[in-house]
Amino acid sequence: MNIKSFSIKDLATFKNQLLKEIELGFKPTLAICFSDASIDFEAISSYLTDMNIDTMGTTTCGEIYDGQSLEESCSVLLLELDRDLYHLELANFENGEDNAAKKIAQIALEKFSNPSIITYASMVGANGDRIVRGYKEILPRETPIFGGLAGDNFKNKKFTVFYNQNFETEGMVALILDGEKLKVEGTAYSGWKALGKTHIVTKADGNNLYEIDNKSALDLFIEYFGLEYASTSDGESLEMIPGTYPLKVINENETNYMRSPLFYDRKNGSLILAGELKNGDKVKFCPMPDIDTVYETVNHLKNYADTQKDISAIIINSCAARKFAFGPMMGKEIQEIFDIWNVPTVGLMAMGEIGSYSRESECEFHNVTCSLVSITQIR
Amino acid sequence: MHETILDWIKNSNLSADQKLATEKYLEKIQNDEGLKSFQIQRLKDNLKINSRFLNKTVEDLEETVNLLQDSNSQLGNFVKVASHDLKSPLRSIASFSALLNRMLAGKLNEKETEYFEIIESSAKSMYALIDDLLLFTKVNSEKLKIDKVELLSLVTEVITILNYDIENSKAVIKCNFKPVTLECDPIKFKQVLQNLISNSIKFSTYEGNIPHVILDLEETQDQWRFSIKDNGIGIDERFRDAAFMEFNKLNGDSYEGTGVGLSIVQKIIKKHNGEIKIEPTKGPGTTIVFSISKNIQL
Repeated sequence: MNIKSFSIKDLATFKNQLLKEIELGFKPTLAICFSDASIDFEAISSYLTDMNIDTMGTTTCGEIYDGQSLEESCSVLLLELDRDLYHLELANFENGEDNAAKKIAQIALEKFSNPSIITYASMVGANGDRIVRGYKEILPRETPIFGGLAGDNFKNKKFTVFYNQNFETEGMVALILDGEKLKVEGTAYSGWKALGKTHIVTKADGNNLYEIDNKSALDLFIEYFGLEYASTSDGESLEMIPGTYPLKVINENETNYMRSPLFYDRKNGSLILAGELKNGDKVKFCPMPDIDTVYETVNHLKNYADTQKDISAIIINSCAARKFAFGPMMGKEIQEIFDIWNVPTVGLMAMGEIGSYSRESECEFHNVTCSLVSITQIR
Repeated sequence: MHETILDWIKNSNLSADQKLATEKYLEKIQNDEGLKSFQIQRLKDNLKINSRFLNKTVEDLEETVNLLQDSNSQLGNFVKVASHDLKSPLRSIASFSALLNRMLAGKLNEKETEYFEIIESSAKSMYALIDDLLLFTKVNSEKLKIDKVELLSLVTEVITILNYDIENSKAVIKCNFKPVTLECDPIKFKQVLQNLISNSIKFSTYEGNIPHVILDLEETQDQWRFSIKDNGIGIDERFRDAAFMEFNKLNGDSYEGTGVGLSIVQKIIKKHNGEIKIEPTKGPGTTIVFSISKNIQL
């Protein structure tokens, strides 16, 4: 299976690069695009469709191309893949995120006996937990489901996912692959170390976390991290960089996942998270990420690499909050990950990641993780 | 500085490829330096956070200790009250049952006599369990009162207490050590010896066997190390740790007892900064080894 990765800044240059590759015998059938919203991804998709290349894509908060973390670009993975081995599907959210996911899951089961899914969802404020619940309700537990939520480089105006010439700002796209012929596996990992004692969520509703240990979540957060309100033009404001101080959710089945506070509400003392929590969840606070967080993630992926042979391509769904919190360490992490496999690698900075920790664990909706997917042809 | 070097490269005689390579190298150095200073700042910030968490953890621990102490104290009081309230009716059951048994002597058939015996022995077992529960709570909550003790005198007192069992079973108790003075809580340490020797006699008393219990003592620089060996039924290797769990009767109801004795012993030994374990033995019997510190930290 011939696979190539490209980073597009302008369509003309990309056209030349692609035509050269085609002249050399490259015959791509499928394109996976991760594009900044400022790039003319509609034109890119149109060109690829005209070239008889099926195209699936999403807008991003940053792009990943081989060992680089980029902005204002479009990363494209082009695959020479038998058209019988994949199916592209688009669904809108008019009946809710979970129903859209269920619809795609039903189609996946109709198309392949053992499907794998790579999926991206648009819509500002899309609920990733509902998407995961929808998929899990229909698909067998072991079905690989990876992906994330689209972004638009933090402008929060227009997230888009697309399939050929179909564009959806409130919906989701899915690449459904034949699991009998292609091995799609992955791992979602944050690398964060937790600090201090385990706390219990005592009042939460969806993404709103009101109380931890029967105390105001915001007050506790401020108390533990020593945060202070600063005067701004709008009054007093607390510096809350998304992803800087995430919560690690400790599951009974040890499939831990992260929840990142995005905003806060001083009136009711709550934190607004990038994912859901429920009463009774056990959580631990995490400090700011440092270089150990990067190496912890890279080492986890190196261990994952030991279990995977002959990987053809990598897709990295990394959290946009990670980009904020990691600062210049982000580039280091992407380079180190690329160096593990040195195969065509593309990806995005997402507004939330979908994936499982390991083959044995269940798919979850994550924040601040690096959710990596490997695609391997089964010989 | 960086801009100056870039200008110099731009105006130099280097080839286009060389210029590009040099610029990329410079960019890498600048990125590396940026990364390093970011890492240092991050480490400093996290040091502050770690310090806050450490303080919070200490506060949380203190709070937990206070809660546990309160809870322990409440539990202790509850056990005391509950034990007292349980013992009174039990005493009535036992004494009136004995009285009835005596009053009806000669008028009861075999079955009826057996029922009276069951009532009396059940009351006795429950009495023993309540006493052990009280003792268990006391051991948990009370601080040690350390004093100098003549070990042989302590063993003699224990043998006197166990005289009835020793005579009944014809047990032979042998002390393989010279008179020594050690520091311990005499009442609690006596309880240790009493429970262990009593167990040895109990589990060595069966048809065709005369209990032989041997006490040994070894002195090290910082510990007194004891062993109590018997020729009883022994303890299966799999259950050696479980034997110290509260209310765990390894032999079910085949032998009298509440299943609290060894856990009381373990708690007392731990309070004496010591350890206790059941040693593997060749052949039948059980060897229990335990130590107490010569310098007990209360």
